[in-house]
Amino acid sequence: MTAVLTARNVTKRYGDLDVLCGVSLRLEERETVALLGPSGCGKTTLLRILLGLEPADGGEIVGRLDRAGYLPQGGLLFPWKTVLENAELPLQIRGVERAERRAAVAEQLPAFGLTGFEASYPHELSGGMQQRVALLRALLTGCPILVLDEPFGALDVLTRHRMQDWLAELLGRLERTMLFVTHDLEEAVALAERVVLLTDRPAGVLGERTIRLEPSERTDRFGNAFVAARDGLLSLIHQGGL
Amino acid sequence: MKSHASPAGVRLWQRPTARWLLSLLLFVLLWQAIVSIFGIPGYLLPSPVATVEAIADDATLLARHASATIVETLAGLGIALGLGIAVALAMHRSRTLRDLVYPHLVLSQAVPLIAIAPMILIWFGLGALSKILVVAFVCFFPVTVNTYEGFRAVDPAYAELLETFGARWIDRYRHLYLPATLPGILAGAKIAATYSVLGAIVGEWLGGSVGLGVYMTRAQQSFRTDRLFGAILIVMLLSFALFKAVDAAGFVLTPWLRRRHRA
Repeated sequence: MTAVLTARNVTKRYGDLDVLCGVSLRLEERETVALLGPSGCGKTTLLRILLGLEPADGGEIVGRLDRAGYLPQGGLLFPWKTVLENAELPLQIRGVERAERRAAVAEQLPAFGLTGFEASYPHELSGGMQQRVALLRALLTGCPILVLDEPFGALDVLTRHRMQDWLAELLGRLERTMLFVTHDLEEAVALAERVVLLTDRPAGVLGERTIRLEPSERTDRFGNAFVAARDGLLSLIHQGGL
Repeated sequence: MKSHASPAGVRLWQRPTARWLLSLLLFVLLWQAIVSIFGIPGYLLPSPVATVEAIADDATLLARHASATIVETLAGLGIALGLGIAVALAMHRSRTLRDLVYPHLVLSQAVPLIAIAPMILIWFGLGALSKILVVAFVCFFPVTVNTYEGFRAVDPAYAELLETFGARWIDRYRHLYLPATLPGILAGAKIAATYSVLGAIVGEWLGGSVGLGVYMTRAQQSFRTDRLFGAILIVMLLSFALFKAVDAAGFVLTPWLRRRHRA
C-alpha cells in the first residue's frame, strides 16, 4: 500500500485557542477514510491545512492534497452559474476546450441524476441535487483524491441515507481515494473503510477503526453488521470520554 | 368571501405601475388647477399645458440641445463605470493601494460640485470634454464604492475553492468577484445614472454653447419660464429613461436573480 498522505503531529492554534494538538493521519491510495468528530472540534481546520489552504503551526505533512477534488462544507455552488457551468468550472480553469468539457459533464450527468437540469440554477434544485452537483464538480477536477467536508450534513435523514448509498456505489466504480469529514456515525459506517476518531477541541486522534463490511451490508442500516460497526465506533467514543 | 364591485379594477389598482401613473396624474391635475384657479402668470409658474406647448413649439431646438446632453451624460457615465470598476479592482487587489486611494475617494464627495464645476470648465474649456468630466466626477464614487464593497463582501471560502482548482487571479475575478458583485455594481450604476444627467446640466449651466443646461439659462434670462419647465421635464424624462435602461441591463445580466423571483 502506498500512502498518498502522511501527517504527523499537526498542531494549530488561533490566538489563545488550541484547535489541533498533534493530529496524525495516514491516507492510503484508493481507500476511503472518515474523519469523525464532534461539531466544532477542528475537523474543517485539519482539512484546510491538508489542502494547503492554511499553514499548520507544527508537525509534518508529506504529500499535500492541494490538488484534490475538494467539496467544501455547504457545497459552495456558484449561484450565478447553472448546473452545467458549475460542474465544468474546474475544467474551464484548467483551460479545457468548451466542447470537450461539456462532453465530460454530459457523460456524468445520468450517473449523478442530473439529466435535464443542466440549465437550472443551484437554488432551483433540492439540497440533495445541489450536493450531487458539488460532488460532480469535485470529481471533474480530475484529481485522484476527493476531499469532502460534511458532504450531506445539511440534508434530511432520508435524503442523506439515499445520498450515502449512491455515493458508496459510485466510489466502488471510481476507485478514487477519498477523505471525508463527518459528525454522523452512520455516515462513517456507510462509506468509510477506515474511521479516524477525533477528540473534542483541541482535536487529537482518539483512535482508529477499520470497517470491514460488504457493500450490501453498508446500505442495510438495520442489519447486524452495520449496527455492530456503528456500536463499535460509539463505544470507542464513550471510552474516550467524549 | 369578500365580494368586490370590480375585481379587475381592484387588481389594476394593486399594480405598482398603475399607482405610479395615477399619483403623477393627480400631481399634474393639481398643478394645472392651482395655476388656473389663482390665475398665476406664466413667467412665475407655467401650467403643465403651457409647459408641454413650450416643448412642442421649440421641439427642433430642444432635440439638438438634448442630444448634446445625452452624449455628454453617456460618455461621462461610461468613463465612470469603466474607471470605477478598474479602480475598485485595483483597490481590492492591493491593500496599500486601497489605503492610499480610499481617503481621496471619500473626500472627493465632500467637494461641492457647484464650486468645483466652474474650475473644471476653466481647466478643460467650454466644450463637451469639461461636461463629460463633471458627469464622470459625480458618477465615479457610487460605482467605485459599490463595486469595491461588493468585492469585499464575497465569501472567501469561494476564493479558496477556486484556489484548489488552480485558479489564477483573473479566474477569480471572472468566475467569482465580478458576477458576485454585479448586483452591487448595478445598484451603483443606478445611483450614478440619476446623478449623471444632473452633472451634465450643471456643467452646461456654467458655460457652453449647446446642451439642455445652456437652453435653460437662456430661457431663464429671457423670462421664458415655460421653456425652462419644458427643459426640466425633458431632463426628468432623460434621467428616468437612463435609470430604466440600467434596470433593463441588470435584468439581462443577472438571469440567476430573475428566476429566483419566479420560483
